[in-house]
Amino acid sequence: MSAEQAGNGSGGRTGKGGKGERPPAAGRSPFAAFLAALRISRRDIRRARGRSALIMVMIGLPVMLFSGAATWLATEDIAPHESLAWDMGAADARLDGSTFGEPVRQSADGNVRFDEDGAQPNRNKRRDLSRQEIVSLFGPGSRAVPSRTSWTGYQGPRGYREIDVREIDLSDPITAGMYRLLSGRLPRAAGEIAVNPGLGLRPGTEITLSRTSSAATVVGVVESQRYPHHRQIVAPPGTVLADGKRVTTEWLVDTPAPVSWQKVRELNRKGLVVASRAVITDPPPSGDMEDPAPGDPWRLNGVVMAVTGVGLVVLEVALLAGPAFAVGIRRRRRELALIAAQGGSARHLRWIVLADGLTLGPAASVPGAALGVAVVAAMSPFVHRGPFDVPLNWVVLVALLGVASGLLAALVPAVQAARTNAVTVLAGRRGRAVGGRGRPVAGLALVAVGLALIGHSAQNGSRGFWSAGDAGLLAGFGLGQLGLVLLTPWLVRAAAGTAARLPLPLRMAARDAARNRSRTAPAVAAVMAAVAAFTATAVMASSDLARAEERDFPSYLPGSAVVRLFDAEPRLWTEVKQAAAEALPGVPFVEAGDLAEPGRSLTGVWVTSGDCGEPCPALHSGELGPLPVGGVDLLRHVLRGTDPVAEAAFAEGKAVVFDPRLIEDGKVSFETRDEAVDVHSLPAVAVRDRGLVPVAGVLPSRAVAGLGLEVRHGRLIVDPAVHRTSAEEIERLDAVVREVSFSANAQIDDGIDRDSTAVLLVLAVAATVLVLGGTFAATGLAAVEGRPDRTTLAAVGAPARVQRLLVAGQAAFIAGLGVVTGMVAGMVPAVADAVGAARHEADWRRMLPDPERPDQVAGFLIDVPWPALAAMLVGLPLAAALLAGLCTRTRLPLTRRLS
Amino acid sequence: MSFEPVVRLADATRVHGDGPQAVHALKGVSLEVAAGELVAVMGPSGSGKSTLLNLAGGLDTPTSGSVTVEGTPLTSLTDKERAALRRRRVGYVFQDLNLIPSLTAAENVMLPRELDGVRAGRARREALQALAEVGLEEPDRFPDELSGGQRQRVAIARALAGERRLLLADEPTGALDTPTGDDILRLLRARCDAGAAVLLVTHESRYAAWADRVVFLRDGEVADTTEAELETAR
Repeated sequence: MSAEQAGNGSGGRTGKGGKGERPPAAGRSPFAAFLAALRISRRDIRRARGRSALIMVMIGLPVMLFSGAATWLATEDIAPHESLAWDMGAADARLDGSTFGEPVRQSADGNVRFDEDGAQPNRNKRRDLSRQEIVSLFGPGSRAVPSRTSWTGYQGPRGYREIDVREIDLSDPITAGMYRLLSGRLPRAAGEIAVNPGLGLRPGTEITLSRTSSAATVVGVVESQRYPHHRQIVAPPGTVLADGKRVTTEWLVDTPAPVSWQKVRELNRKGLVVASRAVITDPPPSGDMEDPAPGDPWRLNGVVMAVTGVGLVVLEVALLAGPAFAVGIRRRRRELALIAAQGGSARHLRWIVLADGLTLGPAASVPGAALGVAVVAAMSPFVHRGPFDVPLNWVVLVALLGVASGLLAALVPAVQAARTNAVTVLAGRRGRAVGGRGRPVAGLALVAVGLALIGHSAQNGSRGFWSAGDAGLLAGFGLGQLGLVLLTPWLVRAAAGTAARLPLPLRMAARDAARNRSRTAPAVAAVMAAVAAFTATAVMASSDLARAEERDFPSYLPGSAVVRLFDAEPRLWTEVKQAAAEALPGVPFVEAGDLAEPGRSLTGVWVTSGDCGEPCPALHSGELGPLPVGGVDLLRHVLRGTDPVAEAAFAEGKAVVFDPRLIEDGKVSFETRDEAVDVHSLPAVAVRDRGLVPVAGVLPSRAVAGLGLEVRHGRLIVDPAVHRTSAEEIERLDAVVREVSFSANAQIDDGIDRDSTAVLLVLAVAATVLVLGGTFAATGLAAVEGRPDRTTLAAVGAPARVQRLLVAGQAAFIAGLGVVTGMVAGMVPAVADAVGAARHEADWRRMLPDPERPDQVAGFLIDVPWPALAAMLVGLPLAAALLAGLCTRTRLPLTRRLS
Repeated sequence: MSFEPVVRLADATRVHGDGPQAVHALKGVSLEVAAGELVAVMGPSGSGKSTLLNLAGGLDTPTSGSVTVEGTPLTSLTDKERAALRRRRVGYVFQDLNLIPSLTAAENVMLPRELDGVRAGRARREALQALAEVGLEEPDRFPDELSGGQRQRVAIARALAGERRLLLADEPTGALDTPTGDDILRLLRARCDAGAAVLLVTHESRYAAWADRVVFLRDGEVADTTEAELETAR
């Protein structure tokens, strides 16, 4: 062979290799290698369908949930321009019927209003405008139609009821689109009304309206387009409501030209707030509009909460999907080594794995987002009233976050792939187990910053949804989690160090986990994050409940059924009593009333006589007040039995008090405070009660008139010793009294009527799915990699049980370590929350006139739901181990020589 | 054969580990392979054959000594530059599982070129040509649809696609039956005659007969070198 031959052979290659040398630019592309990587990943995803589906579900499911939630909210939120016809019919503008008397500023739709300084406008200067004044504001050719609303009562076939009344001329074309006629016809003349179907009145029914005391006939059933379930009577203008304080007037205005934003601002300067069709349809650009909300203090917190929340979700998805990617990489080790042998650089190998994330991310996110929207679209016609809205920006953002999660999940496996040692892999040797110590310094620093933030927000003690304290708490929790993720490899190694005394399979499992920290750590971190979130939420919810219970100061005997009416109208009280008696026939109700100045609905009562000292029952009154008024049944109810002496005095018109120190000169004295303070006194006897109902005494109804006062009845009590009201009974009772008046209700006074079990259960299920998912992905990986070890075990005669125990031990190690660290991590914000709550309560208490009341005891209170946490601590690792052990294949293929 | 060698190992030593656990895989081996030359490396298991191949292609670096491929000393290159050199100058063929299972025969051959930034269209044209040169007529089949011999042909085509002319073959016939193994050797010889430099690791003396030279390794050292009787061997 000659030099020429060699030079001409194989396509005439004669070039000398040099390190900077590149082939000619023609036919080259900077994306060629990346496209090749994408092709490999696309094909591999199709080959490993099960694993790809698992990753897609892990990414796609949260994307679906969030895009569905965004769509749901957007559809549920009816934009002002979508509800124009509902709110103002065919009018060009709708405006409040009264002027604020000083210049105001408003949002484009008129729903947000401020005075010139950005404060709430002063309502005291309000003045009603006449029709002429309204029309003159809009110039000649304008027309104004009033819409007036108020509350009133009516006597109908089922008795006395209270209701919202709206006077509006529905036959005027300007109101087109505001109401829908369901049956009958629209009211046209005085004495005719239309009603909402919820009232259960048919056309032809006659009722008596309290305002006019005149009969009105139902001629039609109509439904408000805006609030279809709102119970309402609609009457022609000027037929029911007289002018007065309690009537709200709005004007629907028809103008020759659209009402511009300039016109709106001009009216604002006159103290009027206007909703203009033209402005709502085409709002002024935000730059042109004066900001109606100067300085939104919640915005920053909202942003911090949203960013942290999104960050935690992305992190969790990435941690969960990470081990699944890692499994894929381990199975493709030889493939990656081959590519390296053919000249694939570290960057190429990294690309190939990142391409997996880039392919699976959109493959999961796009259908996930579409599915979320589609599910809401399918449900929307049955649930929502407004048009179906897709918040494209949010859906795209959610899908992009899904893609980001996929890339983030593939990141660590990609970095590992880039470290592939081609020589070792091609020789069929197992590489040295790799796994750094993590980044303990960075991790510790992040944990410290997180703790500082949490501590700071606890110190501030500011609480409530979207409050600064909560944003700080969440941000601190997020940073702490990130720090713990970085610390996890170190934790894994430390935990495995304690396994020296465990039985062989468990010891092997722990050592294997520690040697292969690169696959163990992400799974432990995923479990930890899920459990931390669960623990924090569970402890906070449980502590909130405990605090509420601690604060709760029962006004009634536990188990009492109580009917309440918050209205002074005696006719309504009669109706409520009758409805209650019909709902629970034969059950005795104890009636309790309050003292009131004549003609007033509410009057404060304070016992003034006697030097009561501490503790003084007179100061510890509940809902019934210190001196409820009633009959002998009320006295017996409070005394928990009969007392001839007390009852005799009561029958004579004397008050019965339960502390002799309250009696001075045979009388009990008390103040009534309304517009003026009046002092009253009444002959009284003192008896010992059992302190079960928090009142200072009971006044007989017949003595009240003598004091120049009246009784306002508002409570019916079913004594639990006489009748135990069932859940079904209380529901029935509540329904019937609510039908009488919106201000009536019935419930069982059972202390705090809340239970966090349901919340805990949902959280626990979510956490379990995440924990098991993360554990199995990593255990599966360990099982694949550990096959040679198990073959060796089998070869030296280890029974199948040992192999199962080995895999079970690996699952238990991951789940156990994750659960333990997660619980510790979750307790921190929970404790901080409790500290914050205690501080907040202490601050609040200082503002009270009576800081020593037992229902306002402040203090640190944390309630850990130990059974739930213990179940998770023991149950989850056990379940993971059992399932993993049961799913282990003990018949292994013989390890074959590769070369 | 006195012209510039394609690959030259000079006193190359490779020690794995250090201290008492140090393993001397290769001890001061010097070897040159010129264009158009087929050199067979033989020796018992653990004699350092594969290590020699790894050093020659820049998959691994010598602990001491030097390796030069087409005039470029590998010891001075970074990992990235050595990867680039493998893409452009060196091709490996292993005993088995040479191909990426998710890529077709043509795509497997295209891969190193594409990784090097060559557009898919051009890479495919080159791949089809390379596959034709090794006699494979089904470029769009996946590896598991090909026979063992066909798979090795694809691997050889990939190893020589583009401008590469150093082929490092590690027991390329180890997983094949005798007639197919002979075919592969014949193909390697033909590529060699067309200008490629081939370094072939084998433990079958039968195949050594196809070589221009046979190097015997024992315990990491060259124990013997034989100029083969070419005419009689073929």
